[in-house]
Amino acid sequence: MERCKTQQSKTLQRAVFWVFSGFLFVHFAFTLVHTLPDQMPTYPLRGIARAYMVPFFHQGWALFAPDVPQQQFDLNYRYLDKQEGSWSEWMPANDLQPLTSHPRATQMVEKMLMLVARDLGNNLTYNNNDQPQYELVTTAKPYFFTIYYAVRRHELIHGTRPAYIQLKLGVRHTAKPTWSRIATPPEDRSFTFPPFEVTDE
Amino acid sequence: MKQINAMIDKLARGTLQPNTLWLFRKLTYGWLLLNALFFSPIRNLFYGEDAVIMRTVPPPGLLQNLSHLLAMNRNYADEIAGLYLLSIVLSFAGILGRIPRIAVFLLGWQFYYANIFAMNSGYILFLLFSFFLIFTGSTKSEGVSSILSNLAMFAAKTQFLIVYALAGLYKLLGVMWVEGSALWYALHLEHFVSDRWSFLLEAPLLLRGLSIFGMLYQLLFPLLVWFKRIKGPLFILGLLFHSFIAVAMQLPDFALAMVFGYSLFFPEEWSASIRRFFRLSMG
Repeated sequence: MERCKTQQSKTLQRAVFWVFSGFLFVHFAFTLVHTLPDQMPTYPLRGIARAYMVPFFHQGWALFAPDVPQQQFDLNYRYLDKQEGSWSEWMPANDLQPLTSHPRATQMVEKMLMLVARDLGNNLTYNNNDQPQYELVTTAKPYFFTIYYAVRRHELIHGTRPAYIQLKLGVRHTAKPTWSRIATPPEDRSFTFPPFEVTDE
Repeated sequence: MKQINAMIDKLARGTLQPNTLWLFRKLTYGWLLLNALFFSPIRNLFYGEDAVIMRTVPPPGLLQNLSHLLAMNRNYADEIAGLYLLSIVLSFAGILGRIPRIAVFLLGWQFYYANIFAMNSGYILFLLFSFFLIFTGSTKSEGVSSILSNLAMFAAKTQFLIVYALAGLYKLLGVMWVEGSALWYALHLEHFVSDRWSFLLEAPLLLRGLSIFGMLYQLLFPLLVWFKRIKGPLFILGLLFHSFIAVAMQLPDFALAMVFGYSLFFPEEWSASIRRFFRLSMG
């Protein structure tokens, strides 16, 4: 009887070992497909891996790579007050002062602006006569995040909701060191987005 | 097959490194607790009713909805944060077994998806660790529980090595880290680095050396960490590297996350000494 019990328990242990090991094997195979650089041959499988990895195992380990960002961003905004009927001066919005001076606040805004700048970089490939085409950027998520942030920040600081808001994104490039073989950065540039009507939604 | 069965029997006999499991568990939930307290003063602004981050609607699917509860319902930020903190404390203290550990994992992702711009990779790493820790039993467990514990610790180690290996690989594919200009650019990131570190920009050789060292360290760590004699110096170098990131780039949470992760590879006697030290300190 005792021997039979021991045998049963061994069978269970082996079954658990194989099932859990199998799960871990599949888990890490998906992890690698999900996180390896685009240049790797696993890239075509990324869609399948994503279905498993997102939302609870989502990860990415580029960590300031392949290259460190070479730009600094300045977010400015102005708003139209319906009663006054005129646009305000441009105001900086890179941080959450005076609401908080928490160190993570500016880093959070910078991450958001980096995504808008990435969209700008991609979509400006299709510009006309050197005039930026904003249609694709202003229908993308990062731009809406930034608009929402600017409106909400204004509301919390000034206590009013503007009727229209307009964003201006300044892009400053880090000068390259003399010994670097990276391409010389373009000139600093500023992008003024079209006015955005603020609704209650 | 015989060898595999012998290995399974060995795994079933007890937790292979009980003190290392104890230490790793304390450090994981300790880090998550510190992180939760770090974000506590700005909880309302980052996640609550006053959040400056837009509410997001998840893609369809039960898991997607489950992970976005806070992202969709900001009114419950205080309740979710309270439950999260309680779960972390219970997990840290080892009370109620797996239940609070499952809660930490599920609730932790709520904060990530409610504000994807606030958290860094250290947070994700510790949420992944918290997933593997769900499967660990008591440090004295035997049988099936012991098998799960041992495999879960192996999985946490694998996850940690993937972080370093991939971070190194991505750097190798770029230009900056290979030519040594990465830290030059990193030190220009105003939102991360304060002016007091600008003196480093006057020392190009040091900058280049540190950049290349950072890349090589990440690439070689997964290989070198298995040699017991090298472990000590390897961890000390990593501690210095991550301390620099913590102080210069104002990312103490990420630096601490990586350094805490080293505990996974501690020889059992190191972990036992640390455990004894804490026992004595606590009386």
